[in-house]
Amino acid sequence: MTKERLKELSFEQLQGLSRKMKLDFSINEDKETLVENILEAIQEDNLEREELNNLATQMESHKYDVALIEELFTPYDEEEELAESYNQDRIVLMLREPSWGFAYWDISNQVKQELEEDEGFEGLTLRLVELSDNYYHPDSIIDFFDITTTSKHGQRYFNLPSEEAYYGAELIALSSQNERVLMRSNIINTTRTFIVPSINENQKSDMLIELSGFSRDETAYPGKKLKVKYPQRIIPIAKQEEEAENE
Amino acid sequence: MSSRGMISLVLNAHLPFVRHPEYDWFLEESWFFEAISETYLPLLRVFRALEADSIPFRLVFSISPTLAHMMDDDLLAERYINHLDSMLNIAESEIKRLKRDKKQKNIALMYQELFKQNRKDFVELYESKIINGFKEFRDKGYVEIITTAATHPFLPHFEAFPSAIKAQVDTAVKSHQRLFGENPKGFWLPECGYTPGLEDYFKNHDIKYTVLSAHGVLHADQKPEKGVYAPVTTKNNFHLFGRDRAASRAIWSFKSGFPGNPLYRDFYRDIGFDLPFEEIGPLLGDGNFRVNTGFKYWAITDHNSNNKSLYDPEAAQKQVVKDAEEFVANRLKQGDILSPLMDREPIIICSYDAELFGHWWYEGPAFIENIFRIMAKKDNPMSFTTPMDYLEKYPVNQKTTPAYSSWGEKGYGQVWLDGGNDWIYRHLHTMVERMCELIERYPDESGLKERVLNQAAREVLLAQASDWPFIIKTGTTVPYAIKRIKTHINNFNYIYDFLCSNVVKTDWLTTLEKKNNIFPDIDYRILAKLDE
Repeated sequence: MTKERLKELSFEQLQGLSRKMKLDFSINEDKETLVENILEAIQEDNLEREELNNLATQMESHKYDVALIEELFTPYDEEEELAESYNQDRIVLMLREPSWGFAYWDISNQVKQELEEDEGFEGLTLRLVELSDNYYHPDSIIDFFDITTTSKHGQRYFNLPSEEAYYGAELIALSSQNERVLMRSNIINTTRTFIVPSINENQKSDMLIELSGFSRDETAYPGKKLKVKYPQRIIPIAKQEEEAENE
Repeated sequence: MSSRGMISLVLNAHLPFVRHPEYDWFLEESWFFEAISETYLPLLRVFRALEADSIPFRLVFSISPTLAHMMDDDLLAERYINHLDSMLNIAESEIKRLKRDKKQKNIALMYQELFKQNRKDFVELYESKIINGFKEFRDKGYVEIITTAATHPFLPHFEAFPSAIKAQVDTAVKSHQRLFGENPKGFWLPECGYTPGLEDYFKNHDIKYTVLSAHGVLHADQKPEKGVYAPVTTKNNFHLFGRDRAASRAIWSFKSGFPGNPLYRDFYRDIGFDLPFEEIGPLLGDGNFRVNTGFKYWAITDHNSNNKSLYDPEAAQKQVVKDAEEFVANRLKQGDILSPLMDREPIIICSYDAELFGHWWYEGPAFIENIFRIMAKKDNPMSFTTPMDYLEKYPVNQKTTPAYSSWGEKGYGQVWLDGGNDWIYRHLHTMVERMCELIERYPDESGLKERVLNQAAREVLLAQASDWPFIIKTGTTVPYAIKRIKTHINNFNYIYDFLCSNVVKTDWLTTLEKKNNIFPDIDYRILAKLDE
């Protein structure tokens, strides 16, 4: 649930949501204030949940505590090195958390050589493709965005714009003439971070949700499931300015 | 059955496979020895005391395959007894050192008694195999033992490699059958790491349930009408229970939860670090540097200060009873509020790392004992049950698919995938793919080649343990974690290269088999590529 998503709701929907979340508000309050109040309430819940999970991690780490200075105890004869590359063309996409993904890739020696020998080669780009389903097909592409990269990087974290969406990644070689898709990744599905509203109101169920530790119902307005758009931090500044003007 | 509802205490016991026969003494084996001394043996004594007094108790104990194997290992059993003997040496030395300080000396005597009792229980009662203790209480109906993934990986980070996940589940079930003589009914997801579709891997094994973080259940694709107080069911009839946040916070929160009480024993102030090295050094490990001993004399007192009061065991025990009373009272209150809202008994899932009780929170085992004792005295108590018991009474539950979630920091996969540890995945995933390739090339080997391939499969699984990226992230024994990952990766790659050149170094293989002797009946074909 983000500010952008709440701003997309109508004034009446925001009031309905405030009521559902048992937030006090005045009939004269403007949309901006309603949005801020709802967001603050949700963030309190998120912080609480994160804190609880953080505590579990802290506690768990203590079972590996044995000595203060581990580095002194290194009966290892030599430093082990790992292969820098496996000489294969592969890109793998992983979902780290609802709005962040991670991709790593490897480029085979043959392809590296081809790119070096291509006089028109301009560079590599990582393309994140949003799909309507769990497969690649021109008809299933909804949207995409590009991240400039180099063959040196080999990996990248990136923000994922939409919840409950399918994403794939492509590593593309750009040249003056065309784009060449070098490899394509597996497809991941971003998760939702809200409680799906019921079709029917059920007060007992709402109370059970609240007692489950979620003091407020993190849903969109009942009956409507909105697609969430997270701000994409890699939008070029010129495009951001353009979008701001359009708003 | 109580109308107030049911409570299910689910303890997850896990340690990574650590066994170093190539050294006389190895620091990280202490993880296992400390957990036995401070958690597993004390908890078994709690069960025995409750049984002796006819106090009803029932709980779930998830024992990871790596831990179960170590519990059954002869070398580690021998080393644990040596560890106990060295603890008893420290106790004697401490009792002499503290002869003029009655209060501290009494604490030293307390530890001496602990280690003496531990030695007696371990050697005489459990015949040097602590796994026997858990099996005993399982057979008597008090403890339901479930399993978890073979080497405890964070499964969602292997989602793109289904053969890896299947191998982890299949190996875990086989290991559980071998060590416990039964099929597990429940499966603890490592770090409660769930992603939709994981339930598909359980359908061939008659595994019925798991436990998720609350937000995994609550963010399901249908709103869970009963919150986390009843399980939800996925399309293949697999049931997922949600952890209760209030019960979690009461234990997990060091500052505001029970374990943080100022009267309880402080974890950090250990004589291994407090005493002058010339005095304590010769008694520690290999005598070369400071380690935890378990001899701690100070109470938490104040979280924000290094000024600590002397630990008072009697005062701590009284506090334990108070805290257990509060915990029980709060669960009963929950039951009273929840029951009228539901058309069935609610279940409150209280799940924790087992090692929290005793190793981290010294008084933890006594707390567990007291919650059973206190509940037993209540009119209309809540019953302690297991998720399996609940499912037998309520087999039909709301159908929905939970959301990606974990109980790790911030609730998803961040801990096991961040700037410090992300480098591992290209190697771990490559191992899986190369193993598939080897299986296609050698589908039906026997003799030496089969041994080699089986060892390759072990190295693949051992490298995937979530402990390594966790340790790198949280910064405890980082050099060891990095060493372990690299070693397993390189062991596998040596085998891969041997097989490509059709040369096998038998000495090297035999040494490795004897060292990484886990999953003795592994079949390398478990890592075969799945049909799409």
